[in-house]
Amino acid sequence: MRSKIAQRIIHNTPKDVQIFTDLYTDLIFRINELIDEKGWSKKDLAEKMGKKQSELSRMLGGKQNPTLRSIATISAALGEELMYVPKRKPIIHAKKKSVVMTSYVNKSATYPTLGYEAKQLDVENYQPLAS
Amino acid sequence: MNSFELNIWDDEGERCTFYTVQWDGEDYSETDKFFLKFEQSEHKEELQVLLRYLTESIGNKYGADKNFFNRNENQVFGLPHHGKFRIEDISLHFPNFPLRLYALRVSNKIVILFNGAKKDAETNQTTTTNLNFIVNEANSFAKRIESALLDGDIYFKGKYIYTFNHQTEIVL
Repeated sequence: MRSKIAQRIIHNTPKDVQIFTDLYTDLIFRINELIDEKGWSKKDLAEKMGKKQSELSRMLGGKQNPTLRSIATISAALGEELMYVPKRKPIIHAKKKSVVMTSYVNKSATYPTLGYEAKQLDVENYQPLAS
Repeated sequence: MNSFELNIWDDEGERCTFYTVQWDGEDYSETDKFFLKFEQSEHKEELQVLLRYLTESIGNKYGADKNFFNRNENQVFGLPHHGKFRIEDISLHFPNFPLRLYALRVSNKIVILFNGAKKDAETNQTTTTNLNFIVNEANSFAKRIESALLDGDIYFKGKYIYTFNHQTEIVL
């Protein structure tokens, strides 16, 4: 069960607000998880970044959203990936219509040649997952 | 202090159940009052963010990880520290997040939500809202719940809280 008021607010929450919240939470959780895994403290991470702990806190939750640059700095200090950007790979359909697949791992990958099943795709109305 | 019910507020997530408190005779729980207060306010979007954070990130994806909660020692003043439970506020790392929702994290699978308010100053004492009153009231709820847990009047197992005789309707 869920509170009816919560249900109503969830129903009225725009998709972009949901995505923003999920991304931000995943990022914070990932950073904290990596800090714990390495047996570090936030102070240790800040020191490896050449910054004070207060500066790290500001980067994560200061007056502005963390920038890609600050995420890259944290990622470099941790020596771990923090974010993945989906890659798209065009594949030529048997009828010469283009189909796009999305990979969520930043690694090279090969895809099998599309066979009969792929012809069942409604290519004209295909909605890409990412622009 | 009058009696209050301890009711499930949201148990649809896989990882964590949220309980709330509701005064005897009141129409709404304390947590519903918080969400109603800001639902149509200038902080509507922040409220949506907070609710998504609760229901999806904590409730469904990660559970009540300690990193999602902010323990502010000033806010536990008055709560006896003989137990292992303390009032905390849901910690949002979003920039300048103005809302505070108070909670008692019983375990990684159970969180009890209270009321909250807008925090527009560095300390609860200087804020222009009724945050200080809300914190004190949350501490009173937490103290009663903590005592009931320590005395064995209620216990928790998995995602749920039960009375000593294994009932789910809880009045404290």
